[in-house]
Amino acid sequence: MNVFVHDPAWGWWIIGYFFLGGLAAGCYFVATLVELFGHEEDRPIARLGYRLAFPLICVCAVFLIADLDRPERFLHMVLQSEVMDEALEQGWPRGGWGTMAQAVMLKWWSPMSLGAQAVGIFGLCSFLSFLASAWPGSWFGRLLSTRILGGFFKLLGSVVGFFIAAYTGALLTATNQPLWSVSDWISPLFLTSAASTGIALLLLLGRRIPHESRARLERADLWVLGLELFVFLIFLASLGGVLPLALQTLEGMLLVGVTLVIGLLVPLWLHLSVHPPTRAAATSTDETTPESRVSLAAVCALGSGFILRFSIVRIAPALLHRFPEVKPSDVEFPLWQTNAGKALLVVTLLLAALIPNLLMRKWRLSSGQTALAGAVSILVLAGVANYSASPSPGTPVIGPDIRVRISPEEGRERGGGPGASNINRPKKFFFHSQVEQATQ
Amino acid sequence: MPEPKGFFTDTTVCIGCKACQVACHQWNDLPAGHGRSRSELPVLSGNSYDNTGSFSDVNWRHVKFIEQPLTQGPNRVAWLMMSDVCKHCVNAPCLEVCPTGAILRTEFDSVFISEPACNGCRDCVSACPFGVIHMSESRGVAQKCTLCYDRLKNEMVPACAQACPTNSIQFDTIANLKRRAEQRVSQLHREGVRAAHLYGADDKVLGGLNSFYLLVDKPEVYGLPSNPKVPSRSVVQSSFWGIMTAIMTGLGMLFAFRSRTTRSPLDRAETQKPAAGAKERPIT
Ligand code: SF4
Repeated sequence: MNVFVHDPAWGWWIIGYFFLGGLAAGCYFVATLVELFGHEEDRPIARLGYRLAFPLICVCAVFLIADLDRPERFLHMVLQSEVMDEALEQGWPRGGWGTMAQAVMLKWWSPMSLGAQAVGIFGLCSFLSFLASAWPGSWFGRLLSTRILGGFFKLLGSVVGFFIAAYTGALLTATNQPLWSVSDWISPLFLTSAASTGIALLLLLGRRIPHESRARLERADLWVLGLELFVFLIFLASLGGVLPLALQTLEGMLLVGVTLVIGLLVPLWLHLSVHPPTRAAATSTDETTPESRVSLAAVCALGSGFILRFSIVRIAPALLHRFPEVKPSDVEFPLWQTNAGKALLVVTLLLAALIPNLLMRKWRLSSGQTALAGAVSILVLAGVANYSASPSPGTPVIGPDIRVRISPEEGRERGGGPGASNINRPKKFFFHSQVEQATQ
Repeated sequence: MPEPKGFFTDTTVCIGCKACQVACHQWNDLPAGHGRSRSELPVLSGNSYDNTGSFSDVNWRHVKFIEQPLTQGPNRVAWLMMSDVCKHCVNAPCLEVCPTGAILRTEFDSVFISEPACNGCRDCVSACPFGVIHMSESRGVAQKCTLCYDRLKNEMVPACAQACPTNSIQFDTIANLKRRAEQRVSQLHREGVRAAHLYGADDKVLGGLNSFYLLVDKPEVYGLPSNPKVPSRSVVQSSFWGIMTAIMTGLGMLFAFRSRTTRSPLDRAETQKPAAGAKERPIT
């Protein structure tokens, strides 16, 4: 754990952006997937998802810009203004398209750069879907519901949606801050949380969705919650020796306590405890979980989704503040040797045994499906054990540890010159010279 | 193309005079820091000769006083001193993540922030493993050492290196500096300082540091991480798990919503009847 870094002071705007961005993305990809896999009757879910995603991403854009120290320059993340000026001089849009294309600011090895572009694309996709869902009868609405074009658009939309949900986690991992930089599992965690909060919002607001569709959405919710639970357990294990330190901060306690109990176990229990939708009944109209329970589960999921973003964003500064003197050797030990690690292993073992069992009994899964659920449980258990046994945080003992060098900066020959900077605004080099005769 | 240039800092001869800090402030027109609020005067730390504390938007150099308790002799404490600065890393994490392209690699191999492009997203702050970059309170842009780019352009030596009275901070081409540094290390080894070693001279730390150090204790003692991370190297692994999770989520949706397709057309015709049952509501 590197405690010599400086806190980037990412606060409420960023937390809000991560949460609402996840929500928008979740609503959107659930909507596109429902359209792709579902049936005509499930349409209202998709329509609601589209109607929520676009306004939400607009709010996100405002948050993102508001967080900048120089908000008026937000466009610099998307376009290189000086190259754009050049294109304008060449008479863009009548000419100068080549120059304009070069003006695009994209560093695909930097999650923040990629994300800034993706937010734009997502905004566009969700805007189009929003229009099409508002006027389904218009030529445009009909175009987007055609088989080939509409199908392609939906596929693209779900990919972009998944990306928006996941990149914020990768952004935190691609730093040198304590905890964030340790785990590769923040991105999957944010993705599953986006899915569960998205579905929660749809269930909460979609009171008028036909019951059958609701039942299927609840089924999807159950799956997503289970997935999130498993990802969360692996995430905790991947923190290794940093986890015991994190648990000594308020943010760490919130992260583990609220996410695990209120965000995952309570909604799972609410869904599973009554009226288990049997295989036959899952498609019939009156076997959904009572609405009050579903609403409560949804509120829990939404609230804890927010707490998850809050605690992860704020835990790095909290660790810096609380443990300014930690040495790397202080966190280099296998997690299972600590109480936290033992507890994690026990909880994982219990849940991995319980969940397939519960599903089998309540949902009357076929033996094949039970075997699949069991296999997933065993994999998760293996993942948690794998990370818990590793002496260095974030690296599994066995299994993939792919540290690919993707930045052109790494491949560049050592010496003066642009390196990765050849798309880093090389056109103009602004500097304030104290030496009188020095000019650009 | 000019050769890569940088600093070699021999911490064993640093006397903590802070001439480098003063020279840096003077040349770059950096104001004095302030206390807790902007109107307050700078406060003394009260427990150390180090009153700068850390890097900041106006402290691009920071002379560290590392107090070490002594068990023998009349003095109870000894100091390790080190003038810290931006390392102008060969694989600079700050440059790598910067989404606006405001952080540039110059012809001297140094890392430079082009202020008019910076929009204050602070990603570089979170990426720099040495806590170098800070945001300017007044201008809202990232600030750090420029390796005196304007002086280098005019074939002058950076202000700090010129001011250093003991030659602890040396400025030259990296090749020359390495040669000198290795000589100094072997000299120290001969004199019995076995712990003397170089930090950042080879390519182990972020592909090499254009400002490297001679240390006589572990890097952590000096507040330097021994194994900082290249941010982009975690992107593929992180994305891999992200994609796997996305596929699993998609599969879940498929299973949940496909249950429909197995039903007979008769069933489907039935569900299209107007709402029946207490809970049924009209379709939007
Ligand atoms: S020391 Fe920090 S600010 Fe300097 S080049 Fe390296 S990462 Fe950038």
